[in-house]
Amino acid sequence: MTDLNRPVQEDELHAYADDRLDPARRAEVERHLRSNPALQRRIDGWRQQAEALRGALAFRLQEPVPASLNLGRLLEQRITGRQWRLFATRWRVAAAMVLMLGVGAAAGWTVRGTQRMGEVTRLGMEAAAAHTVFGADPAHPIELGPDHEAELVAWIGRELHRPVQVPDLRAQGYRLMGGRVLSTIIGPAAMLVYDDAQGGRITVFLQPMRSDVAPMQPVRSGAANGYAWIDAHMGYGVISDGDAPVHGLADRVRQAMIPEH
Amino acid sequence: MTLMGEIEASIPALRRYAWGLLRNGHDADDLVQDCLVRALDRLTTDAAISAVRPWLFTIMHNLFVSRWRTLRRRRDIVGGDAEAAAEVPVGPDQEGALVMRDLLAGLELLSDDQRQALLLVTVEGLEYREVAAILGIPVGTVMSRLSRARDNLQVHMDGRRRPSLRRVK
Repeated sequence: MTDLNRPVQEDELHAYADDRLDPARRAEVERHLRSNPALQRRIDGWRQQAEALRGALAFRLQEPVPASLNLGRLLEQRITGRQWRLFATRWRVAAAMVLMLGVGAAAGWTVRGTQRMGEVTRLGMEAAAAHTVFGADPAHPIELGPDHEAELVAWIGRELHRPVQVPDLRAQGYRLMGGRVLSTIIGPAAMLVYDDAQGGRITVFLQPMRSDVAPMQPVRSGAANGYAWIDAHMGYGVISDGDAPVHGLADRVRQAMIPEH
Repeated sequence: MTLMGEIEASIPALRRYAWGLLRNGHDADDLVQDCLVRALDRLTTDAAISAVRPWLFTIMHNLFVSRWRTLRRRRDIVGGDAEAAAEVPVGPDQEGALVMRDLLAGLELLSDDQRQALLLVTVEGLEYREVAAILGIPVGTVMSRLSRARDNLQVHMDGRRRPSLRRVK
């Protein structure tokens, strides 16, 4: 079996401090510590820390659990529908982004006060949220894959009440993964997800808008960045992760979507 | 206990760990809510859930990782460790309040990786192998993060404590 006289390992000191050693080995470690007062002090310190941390965080165990975390209520909301849940998650993400955009503005980021620019800012946020929540989801970024492109186009057209096209970005190195329809606070939207050979993903976001046109505006929100604009009452967002340059892609999408340009 | 009962019983611990991760009550409860919603979604799809608590902590860890940048940036702007300390109730004894504040400031200084390992082991009392599964890393890595976390926190606490010890003398 185990050799009780083997040297005491660092991992065993932690297991000893956490009371997770079997009794035989514990006795051995204790003997080792008796001849190493400095080591004993180190372990005493760890134990005091653990005690202090448990004490410091105990208030969270004692507080009543807020109603927002009531399991029955969450279950009920879940049964009320998938749409509600998507809205709830996306709403929170969007709320976090509003805050970050506000911070961006405070730091000199331009959010111009006109109605139209506000609309593009919100569009950019929705696009970034869609990319963060769905586009970057490793398991389920899309509802319909590239094999169902015609079905996808029909679905999006039906929900957005206007025909849409799927831009071909293969020349830019991006392949269509698929897409889905989304619900947002102001109505239906759609997203198309593409990936490149390295697995990098971009989201093309589409949403009917009240304004006719608005110039391309940068979007930056957390790790997501890209561009948003409006053309012919359709809002577009092209969003990527990290610092991948997307300006060229955004231009390409713009051309593809408005062929008469 | 039913599965739902076990989830319900884990909520206080999830709230505690989430607070340790974010040091902000509202953010922490948002994270717990996301975690519970996600868990409810997965009840029927995840294969045999053998241990409910580690399963929930794993879901929460993954959510934290996918959102931490946003939340942390937000918190850096909003408050930092002084605000975190203000959320923790302390007794009337002023020395205790100072130690608490030092402890939280020390916790703040640890890297996310170290803080996670330290809290899951010491506060949540999870087994080393459970912590490894939650964080998606080998047990050996858990041990080295735990070790660095403990020593770093100790260095911080010793540094803060010295002046007050001199006063006691």
